Amino acid sequence: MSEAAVMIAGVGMTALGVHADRSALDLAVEAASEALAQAAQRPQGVWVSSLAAARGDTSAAFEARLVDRLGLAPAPATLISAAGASGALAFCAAAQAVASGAVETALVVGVDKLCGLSPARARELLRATMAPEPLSGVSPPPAGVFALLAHEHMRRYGTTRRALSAVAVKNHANAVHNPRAHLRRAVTIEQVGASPLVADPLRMLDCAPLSDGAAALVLSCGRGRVRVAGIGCATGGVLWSARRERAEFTTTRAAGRRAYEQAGKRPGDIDVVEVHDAFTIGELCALETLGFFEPGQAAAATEAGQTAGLGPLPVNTDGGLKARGNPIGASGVAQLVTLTEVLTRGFVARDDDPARCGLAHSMGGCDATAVVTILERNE
Amino acid sequence: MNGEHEPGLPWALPAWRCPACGHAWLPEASACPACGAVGAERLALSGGGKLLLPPVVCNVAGDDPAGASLVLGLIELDEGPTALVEIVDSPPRRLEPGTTVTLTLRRVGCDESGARRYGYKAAVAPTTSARDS
Repeated sequence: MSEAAVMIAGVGMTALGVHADRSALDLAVEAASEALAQAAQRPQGVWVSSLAAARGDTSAAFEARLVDRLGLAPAPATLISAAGASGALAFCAAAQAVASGAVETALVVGVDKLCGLSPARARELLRATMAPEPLSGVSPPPAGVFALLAHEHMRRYGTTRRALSAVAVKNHANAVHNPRAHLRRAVTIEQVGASPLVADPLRMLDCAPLSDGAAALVLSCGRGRVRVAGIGCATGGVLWSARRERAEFTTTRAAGRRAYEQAGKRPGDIDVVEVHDAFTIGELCALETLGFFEPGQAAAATEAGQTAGLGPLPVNTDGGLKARGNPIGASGVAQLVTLTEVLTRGFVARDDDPARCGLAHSMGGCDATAVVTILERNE
Repeated sequence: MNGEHEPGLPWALPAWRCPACGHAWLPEASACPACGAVGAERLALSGGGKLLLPPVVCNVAGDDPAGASLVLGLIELDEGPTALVEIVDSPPRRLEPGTTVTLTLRRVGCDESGARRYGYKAAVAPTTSARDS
């Protein structure tokens, strides 16, 4: 950030998974309370991200009720909803408020409760993350769009079905070390390839689950162990089908360029990465678009273990959306909680020096909204 | 759907072409998505096109055994715009890129009041020669 230094002063996160007996408000309060206790600061503004709350599935006036439950009234609260990018966009808005001096301390809370929805309502909610196509007037199923993206990547670069499986295997292996993960179990290449077909070539184990859960961060002007070094946001190209370049995430590229420039970093400066892997093909495209690998090379790098927990560029060390879980409005915040923990405590699954610089990539729809955030340990 | 009666399709969709770079697109945008030029020309769609990628079968039924799957395809219309569309009336064979399709007006769902909504789907043309003749 170019203005006042924005620091992360506290983080909190619930377990992700099925919380049948708890409300979205309960989950948000738990994560926020943990972050506030760690920060020991009172926020003057609250930014809330949630897909279900924004569409009336959680409760009316959700953000206002959260402020009351946390005893933060009359702090202004803003609800932000941009599909999968909701949490990262809320973080960006809060960071800008702190950087500008509008508030000294800000609370960001991402939450969603999606497991209790009927299958029909869940499908409707997911489809609503994609723009309607002009010929039909209907939004396509996200899995179908990402399946076509996978076909395009395969046609262009020779990416294989096995490479998609390798992404899932790696992220599930990482989730085994994450006690908060929704799918905390290892899977094999063979199991991914034999899981039920969702949209050819994507199978069930290529797709992130819908999860319940919440994550929160407290941002502070000048106080904290992790610095927000750069944030880039971009929106556009909402129809993947209408794009001229379909094998990369062009909106993510624009967001990444802004984040790298603001932070004064290059891909080679990044020690740990969280990318939006709602579908396994998304991780490969994001890694290539953000400059970690040449176009078409992320698949081979993944199969060679370069992005594994013990590899030279650990990616989705908490399991990613794929296995940590995907409470859609909370996922972008959860990525940043993970990065903050890695930067301050070190990796859970390895003993070498903790990372100094991390990057998170979050997106809504198929790259319609993208947010790239770079965090750096405050030495 | 923003239906307007024009030649070519029973319920014509306006498409647009950039006079500067020739890029054609859907839906309406005030500037060319490719080069940013303004002053787009309106374009009538004939309803013909071709598949750009193998279409994908999406199992949208979830845990509803009675639910149907849908076939989703990326097509390029003859006039240049590209779009995703449901593929219908497909013969029982794998469809390859380049397969010709024709837009067809079909029911795409219902609104909240239960009224039927219509939009375009794409039917696989019987043969390339038949459509070209």
